[in-house]
Amino acid sequence: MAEFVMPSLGADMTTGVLATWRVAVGDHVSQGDIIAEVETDKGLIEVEVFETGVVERLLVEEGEKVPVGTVLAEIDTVSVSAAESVPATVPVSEPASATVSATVSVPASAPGSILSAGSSEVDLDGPLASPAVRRRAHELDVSLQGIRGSGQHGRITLDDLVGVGRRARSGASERVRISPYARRMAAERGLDISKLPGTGPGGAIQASDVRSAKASGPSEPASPAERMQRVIAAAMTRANDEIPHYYVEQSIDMGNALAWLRKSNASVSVNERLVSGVLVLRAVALALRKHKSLNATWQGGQAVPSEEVHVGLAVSLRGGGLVAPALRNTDEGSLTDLMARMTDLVSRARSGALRSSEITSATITLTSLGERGVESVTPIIFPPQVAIVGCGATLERPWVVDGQVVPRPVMRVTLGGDHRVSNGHRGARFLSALDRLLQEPEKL
Amino acid sequence: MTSYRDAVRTALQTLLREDPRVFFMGEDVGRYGGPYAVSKGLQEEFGEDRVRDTPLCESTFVGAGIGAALGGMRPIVEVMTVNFSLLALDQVVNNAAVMRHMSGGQFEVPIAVRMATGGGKQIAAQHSHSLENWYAHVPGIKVLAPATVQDAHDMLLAAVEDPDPVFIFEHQMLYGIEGPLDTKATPPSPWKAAIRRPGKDVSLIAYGGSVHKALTAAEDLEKEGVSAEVVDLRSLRPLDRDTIIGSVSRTHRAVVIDEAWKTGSLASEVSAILAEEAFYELDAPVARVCTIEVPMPYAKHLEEAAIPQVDRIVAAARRSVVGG
Amino acid sequence: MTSEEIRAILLKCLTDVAPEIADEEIEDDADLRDELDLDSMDILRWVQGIHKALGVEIPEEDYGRIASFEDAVSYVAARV
Repeated sequence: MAEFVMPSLGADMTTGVLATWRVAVGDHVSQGDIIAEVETDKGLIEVEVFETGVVERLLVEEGEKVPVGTVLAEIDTVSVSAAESVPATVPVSEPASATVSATVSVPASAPGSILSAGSSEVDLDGPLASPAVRRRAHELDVSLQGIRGSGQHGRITLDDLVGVGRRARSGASERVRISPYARRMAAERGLDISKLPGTGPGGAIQASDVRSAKASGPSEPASPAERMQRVIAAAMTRANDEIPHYYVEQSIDMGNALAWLRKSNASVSVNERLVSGVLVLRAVALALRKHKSLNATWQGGQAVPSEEVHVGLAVSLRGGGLVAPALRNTDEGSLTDLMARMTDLVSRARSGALRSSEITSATITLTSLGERGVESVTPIIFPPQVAIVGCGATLERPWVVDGQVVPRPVMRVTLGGDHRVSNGHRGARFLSALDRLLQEPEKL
Repeated sequence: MTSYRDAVRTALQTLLREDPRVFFMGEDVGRYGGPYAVSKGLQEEFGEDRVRDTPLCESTFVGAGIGAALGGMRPIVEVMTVNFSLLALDQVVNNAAVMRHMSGGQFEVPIAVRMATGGGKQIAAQHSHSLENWYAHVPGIKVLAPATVQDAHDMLLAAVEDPDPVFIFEHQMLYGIEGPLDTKATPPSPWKAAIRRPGKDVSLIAYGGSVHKALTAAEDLEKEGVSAEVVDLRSLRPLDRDTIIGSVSRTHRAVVIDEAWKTGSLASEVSAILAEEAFYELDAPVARVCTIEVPMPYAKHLEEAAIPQVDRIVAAARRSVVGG
Repeated sequence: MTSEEIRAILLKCLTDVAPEIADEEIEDDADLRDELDLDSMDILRWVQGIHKALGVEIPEEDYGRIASFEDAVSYVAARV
């Protein structure tokens, strides 16, 4: 059985509204299928399922708002994997003969049985514990109060104290008592485990505690635009607090690129025309292949380089707001195909029909403000990414070619890097690679 | 419905009938029909050469079986209980298990050895232990523990077919159970564990006689709202790590039930596999329910108290799920 | 085709590209990029829409002649 939970579609998302179910109970789903639409501060997002199986239960109704991590549906993966893989559900015979039923039956209240009969009916007046246990507790400096005994009638045993002793010591070192699975879940959901209440043994945080972790942010803002702005605020504040940014800038002669583009656009139908942004997008992606330390995400105190290049495209929404969905594998496919994918992504971003993987998978962001005429951008990295590229307007500038000053269309490109991961030298090499690529647009 | 003992007998009959290289030997297996009546009538049917009574000397007749296997036969050897098999351990560990390795692959030892294991019949500390983990420790041999009527039949066929020494441990309390037997169906691989009951809150991992107790425990747990998955290991060497880890990756909690003593048991091995390979799936400590570390008592209530019982499995599973 | 009909078609193509502007008043002589916050990709999609609806292909070098809504209507009217 797998649980389909309200995903965290960004480091600062705390709640989401289950807007639409795309599946019904009994439907077969495969990994990657869109099974629901979730309304978040970033708009309506299509959410994929990560398991293959049969939808067994839908636990949240359409329109319901729930915290991140809330189980939305249960997917039965067992019957599917049983059908597909080896460990089949083989029926086992019922023990029929008298001899066997004797072995499997519980000696419930057999006289002289030394088995514990359970502790529920015993009225405890202070914890039950032997003198040896009390002495050991004294030595360990732990209180017997609140310890759940594993012995008969809840009697505290020496074994129980071993665990408690360890707990007391580990508490002193401020180590969070949490199950490995819960720790993994909390990390995936971006939850701070030191703030989670633990309801497991000895106050351990378990998966159920992570699941029911309540959103603890400020009160709900009024409009979607306000909510989105709050998300951006949180991400950018975090970026500014945590990431030591460095910046390098370069002016790139776009003459060759634009000339090639004009020629190319004049020779194809209007439906296959490209915009200059797609050339920059592709060039950024290709330059990243050689500069992997910029194409990475910061996870658990270190940068994890990504083998694949998914450039996030900063898309401003008319009427306010900003999203940066990923164009997956930006370095692959033809320019025409990339143009089509970019057009589709931007229009879906603006109509609020992004997929969850597009929201979360970018490995770097490209932001371009040149359309409005600004000369350069000093962008802030979008965590957990470790770099961002900003483009200004392409403007006619005096440019020296072979000792002669000539007018050339020039674009100012800025790379913002995370100094924990890379340095200015790396950024400079990336920008010159980008420059070289844009001088040979036919090779993009 | 067929009984477990009849399923083993059916497999023996099939093997003796279809392969002239197969013969069966052990203590009291011929005239007496076997200590658990598994081979009743086989000597009449196949003669004294192919169903042979042996002297009470495990080292000799297990060794003879190994020799016959080296010579091209397909011997099936029955040892009365795992306690007695210790007398033949030298033949097993120093000959059967190493021959392929030490001959550089020139010799194989296609012997199948069956024996009863486990407690519950009040036959005390020399006939009731579960020592299959001793065998599962040894590379070069394979170890099976059929828990169902179907497996009792299928695993013996698979053991004789296998080119390496295969040891089959039949829990002595299972001979009387009844269940469906299909001798025509293609059996599942004997080396894979089986999910006997799917569940989502906790995995009860067991083998042999304990599988039935785990299933009963799962029914009791269901009444408390706890959904337990029951994994039957089936093969103790090799262990099917994928199924074990797969189950715990779904339930995130594990209780391992093993009728052997806890220290150095198969339950320990399964727990270590989970700690090594499924650590980040665990939401509660792995629990083991094993036999209390005493020589098996004769007195009924003491024997029952020593062996893992349904209530201990339920309690361990409950602790795993709700904590405390 | 009357100028009013062309106007309606161009407006429809524009709101297909940018549905957010449906309710806005478009000043006939204002620069569309500034007025409606359109970028080069929006303009291209608009040009593609006009081509599909009316068969008029606007080459890139003529983008300057469709900068305002009024210009665009007369540019298209002359070619339809």
